[in-house]
Amino acid sequence: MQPRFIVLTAALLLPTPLFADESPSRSLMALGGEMLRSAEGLQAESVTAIRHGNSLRKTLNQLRVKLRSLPEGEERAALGETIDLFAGEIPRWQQQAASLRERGLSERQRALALLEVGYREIWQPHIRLSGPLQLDGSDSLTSGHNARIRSVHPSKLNMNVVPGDGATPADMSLAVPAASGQNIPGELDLRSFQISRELAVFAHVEPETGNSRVPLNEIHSWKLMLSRLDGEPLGDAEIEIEGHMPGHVHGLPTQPRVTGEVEPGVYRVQGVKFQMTGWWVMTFKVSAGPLDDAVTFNIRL
Amino acid sequence: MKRLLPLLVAWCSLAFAGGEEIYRFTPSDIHFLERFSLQALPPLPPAPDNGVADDPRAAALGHRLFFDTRLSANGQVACASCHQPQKYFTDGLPRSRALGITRRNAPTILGAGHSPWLFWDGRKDSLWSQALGPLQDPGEHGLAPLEVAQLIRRYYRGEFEQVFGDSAGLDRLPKRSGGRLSRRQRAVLNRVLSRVGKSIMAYERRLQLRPARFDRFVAQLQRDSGDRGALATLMTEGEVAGMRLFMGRANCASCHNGPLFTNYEFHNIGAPEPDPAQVDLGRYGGVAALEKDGFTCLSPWSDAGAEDCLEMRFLKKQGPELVGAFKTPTLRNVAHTAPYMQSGQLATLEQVLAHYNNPTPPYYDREQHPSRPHFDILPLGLSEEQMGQVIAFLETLTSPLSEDDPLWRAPE
Repeated sequence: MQPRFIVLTAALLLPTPLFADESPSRSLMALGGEMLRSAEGLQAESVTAIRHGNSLRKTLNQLRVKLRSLPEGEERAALGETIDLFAGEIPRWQQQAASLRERGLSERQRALALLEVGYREIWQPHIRLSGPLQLDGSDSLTSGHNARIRSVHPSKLNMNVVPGDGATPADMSLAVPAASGQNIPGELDLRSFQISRELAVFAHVEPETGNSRVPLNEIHSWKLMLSRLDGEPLGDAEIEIEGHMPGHVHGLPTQPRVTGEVEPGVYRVQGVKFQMTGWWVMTFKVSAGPLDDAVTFNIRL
Repeated sequence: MKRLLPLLVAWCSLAFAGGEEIYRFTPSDIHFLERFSLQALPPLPPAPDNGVADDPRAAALGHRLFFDTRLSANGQVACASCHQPQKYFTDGLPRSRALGITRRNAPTILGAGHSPWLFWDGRKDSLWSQALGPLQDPGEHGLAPLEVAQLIRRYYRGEFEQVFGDSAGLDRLPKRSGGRLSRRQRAVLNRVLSRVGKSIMAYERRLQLRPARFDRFVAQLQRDSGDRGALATLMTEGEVAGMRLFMGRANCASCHNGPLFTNYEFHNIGAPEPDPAQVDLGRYGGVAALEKDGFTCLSPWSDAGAEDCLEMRFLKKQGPELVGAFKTPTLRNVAHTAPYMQSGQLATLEQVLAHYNNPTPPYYDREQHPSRPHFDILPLGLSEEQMGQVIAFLETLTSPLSEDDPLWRAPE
């Protein structure tokens, strides 16, 4: 893994493009894609290491059971030594798994950053929003219901509730239910540029409103831009849209859909409406020929 | 000290309830409350599907149609029979009585022009299309489409032509009911019907709410939030406590928000099932009805282009949250529009609060429901006193009756 990474890094620094027949932005994306796969490899190795450590522990436990049943003597002493040896191995595997995982994660971050840079250059004429999707206007009023339960079963009431998430202004004496109990993870990835689940598609989404912001309680359109990892636009894709609020167990009040491909890879999504502030998850299921993938965006309105 | 502690706690809560704190509102509070005031009510949404929505002549015609009992099979039922102005355009009954008894409770018309969906289950996408439902319902006005057209020809021909520029082909229709109609005649009928609806809608859109005590309270907060005396004359301590609960702990404002105290969305709060033998599927049924409806924004009788009918084009047709869900009603004048819920199952606000405080999950019958109904509320754990305060607050949402407004009574 390590040598490949060095080659890739070196390639990045070369004055001549690695992919001579492609534009530099495309080679950036291709490089990002390559690094992403390498990051996945590291992740997989980390999992293997963890599994190895776990199986060692299992064996170790079995040996310990056996040890207890043995009478004092040579055999027992020998087994004891083996056990000590095994016990010393486990942390080493665990450490290795952790470091592989960390390297995998940081390589993934670098890969995504590269992909985004390349993508932005290629799709620059279409991109008006570079940050996360945000609500239009500073007023955020809860609207929609306040269900905080995943089940109607009485024993499951309140299972997901984490009180308040600090969405209310500090000087408020009214205890408003804004965003309460939505259990929004702090480290939520809100970027409007995302890689797909199967790592085959890189996508960006933005509202087609005057200020590129999301209006509340108003039907509006979005633009979805899909690219393959080599920078080629992903055209003629079948796209299914799903939106929901994880903290409220309900979906969108409308059923948005793709109403046209403005140009290759640029899709118009109509009928988007949010009736409530808080954490929304929008998933676009993309299929095109053999490609079957999904891109997810987190939005905090 | 041990003995003093309860006393101290009691003293603190008295000091809080005792008025100094309860009338103190921060700028953020006031900013939040402003959004519930009638002052924040946006202009009526445009109605591209109704070309005469804002035409005063259409409204005048609609006003007459609304109060006209001749528009019924027995000559005794008008829209105003169940939407009585002096009862804030409701009828005070659990289920309305006209030719028969309706399945659901008559909702108020005040503010309805702001809703994308009409009826408890939202089975209509405009006020004009909505008006055609009761006219033809055998249990309400009980008219056949041809009878509606004949009544228009007989009593309203002149005004009808004036508002719409032509007679829509009224003369092509047979004088008597019974025979088979040609395709062309059916088209004439549909056009006449849609115009009747559009006139009634033009009237309904002009009905206005006057500021309630709550609105005046918010206005006072905006003017001078420090004038405790002025605030106290508008809302009592109990009412203010109720307002704080309404916005906060009781979670009412989650759905009952904005100047009309509704989000016009569909929710299942597990109100008692009116008839377990024939469950009410609510929005689930409403969506199915919309798909079959001949008078939506997308129909030939709408004045809108298809691209203007966004709500219909992107109608949500699936999802467990549709089953048994009903539209959030406005809480404006709620203290005077009993009984409550889709079929008037709950007679008083005390019963409503008791339900929210300790709700029963929605009735579920595997034979009848397509899926287990979604359940949208949680127990509140309010005390009797607190429930009373919320009810007291709801009373402050009562607008004075607009008795001097000609639109609020039968036309001369």
